[in-house]
Amino acid sequence: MISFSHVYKTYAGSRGQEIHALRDLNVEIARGEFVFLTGPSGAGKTTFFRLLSAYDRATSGQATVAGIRLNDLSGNDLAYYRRKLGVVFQDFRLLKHKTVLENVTLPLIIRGESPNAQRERAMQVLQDVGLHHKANEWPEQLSGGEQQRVAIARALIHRPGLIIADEPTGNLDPELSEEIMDLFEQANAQGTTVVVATHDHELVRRRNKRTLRLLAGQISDAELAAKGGMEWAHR
Amino acid sequence: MGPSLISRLQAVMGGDLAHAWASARRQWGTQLATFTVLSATFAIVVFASVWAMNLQRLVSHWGESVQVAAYLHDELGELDIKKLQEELLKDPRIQSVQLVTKKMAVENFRGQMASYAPDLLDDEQFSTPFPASLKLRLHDQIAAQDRVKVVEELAADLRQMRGVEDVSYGQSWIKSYASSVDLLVGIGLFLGMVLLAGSLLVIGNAIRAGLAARREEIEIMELIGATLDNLRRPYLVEGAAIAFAAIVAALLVNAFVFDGLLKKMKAQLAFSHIATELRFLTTAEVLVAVVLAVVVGCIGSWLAIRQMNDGWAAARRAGGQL
Repeated sequence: MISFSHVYKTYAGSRGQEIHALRDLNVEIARGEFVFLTGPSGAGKTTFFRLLSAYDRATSGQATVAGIRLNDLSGNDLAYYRRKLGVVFQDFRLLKHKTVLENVTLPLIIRGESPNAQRERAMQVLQDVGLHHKANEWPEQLSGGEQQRVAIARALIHRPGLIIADEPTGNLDPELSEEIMDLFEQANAQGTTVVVATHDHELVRRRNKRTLRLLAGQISDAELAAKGGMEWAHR
Repeated sequence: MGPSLISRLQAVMGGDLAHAWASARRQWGTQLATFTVLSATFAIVVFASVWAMNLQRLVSHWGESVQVAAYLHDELGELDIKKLQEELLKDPRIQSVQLVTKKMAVENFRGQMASYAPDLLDDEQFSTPFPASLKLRLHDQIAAQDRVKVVEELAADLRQMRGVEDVSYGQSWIKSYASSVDLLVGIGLFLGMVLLAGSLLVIGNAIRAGLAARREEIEIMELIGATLDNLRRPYLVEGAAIAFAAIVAALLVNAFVFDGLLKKMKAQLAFSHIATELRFLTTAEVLVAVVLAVVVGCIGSWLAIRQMNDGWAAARRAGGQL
């Protein structure tokens, strides 16, 4: 499903020096897996997340998802690839001037689905995340946890094959974090591949899922060694 | 079964119109200013167009009554005159040719001058200068708007003919009047183009302000898979909607002003019948104006959004290297 081979991502620093956010990264994730991506701040989690969701391009190396070479995407292909994903941001990225229902239906609107189909599916997915009663409220009227659930509903509404979540519980208390993870597990149980970037080790430990640990832009050597030289770690 | 084409269209257009309305509500200050400036611009263009068309119509109307007189050489005999008449009647531009002999000319003159200079009627010396002439009437099938031009061409041709000493076409002042109208129409067209170019900038600036205000929204839309068309179309619709509202307002104002002026002219210039020749735009012309305005709106928007996101706006803002 996901294959990163010798991927480098390099940014220009403020003094012109090169900053390697990812260096020679090699990762394989199978279809239907649930994978945590952990590591300290600056380890490259967000960069990995950005490359995976085609929000940025690798400087070199080959990144493919479902056979699609991400570095080659451009124009409408880029948009159509992103439509196959469900993406959840740490800061929710909801449109504050749109209601909960309108935010959730955005992926269907850009697909040109009929208003009835949009509403029906949105109410269904809002029911799944327990927010159907808040469909007509504004994001600012919701708590942080509720806003994140709206973002998850938006990521799930079009039944994506891959859900990518960048620190989805970063702003939430432990109880809400568990609720959010339950939602991801429900999606995963239906066959959706899920990749969650987090630095909440306790959460990762409790869920007992395969975990990739990034350190300085690479899969952690210590962890690889512990797993017999494999390119990913499995807890 | 997937959604039908109509329901997809409803979803797309409904969403775009909703976007335009939401934009108007959220940026009502900018939108109101844009609408006002655009309405005023369109109103000036419509006003100039309406009056240019009416001036042209007046010229054409007056052109219908234009007659051409070809004055003949004194030595021309009856046979020559008859031949000339026959030759002229073959010209497709001419409906009829009427001979006015020297004698008839004198009699006409005497009839017209009897009340002003009765002494002249007895003066034999004064009666001799009048030459014989041929009064030519243009063919009925010549369009009114072409008559002045045809008369000028016919006069030039007549001057080249043997036996014709001079040519005059009655209301020759129409020529200079028509030139003036043409000049005014030309200036009007130029100003119209300048104003329309200004309209493009006005709409473009409004859309650019909208783009800046909605940068985050555009990025989010981009990140969840909106194509460039998805992103651009709402702004095209928004530009078209502003232009549509502005042209409707401009047409209403012009119709109101035209009606008022017409009533005033009918009251004050009743003797000239000018007012009866004037009219506002026809339904077809109104539709053309609306379509043109909407096209201007779309072009203005397009100029603002043509260099919109290429799919990597979020990456670029975050310092990504592509």
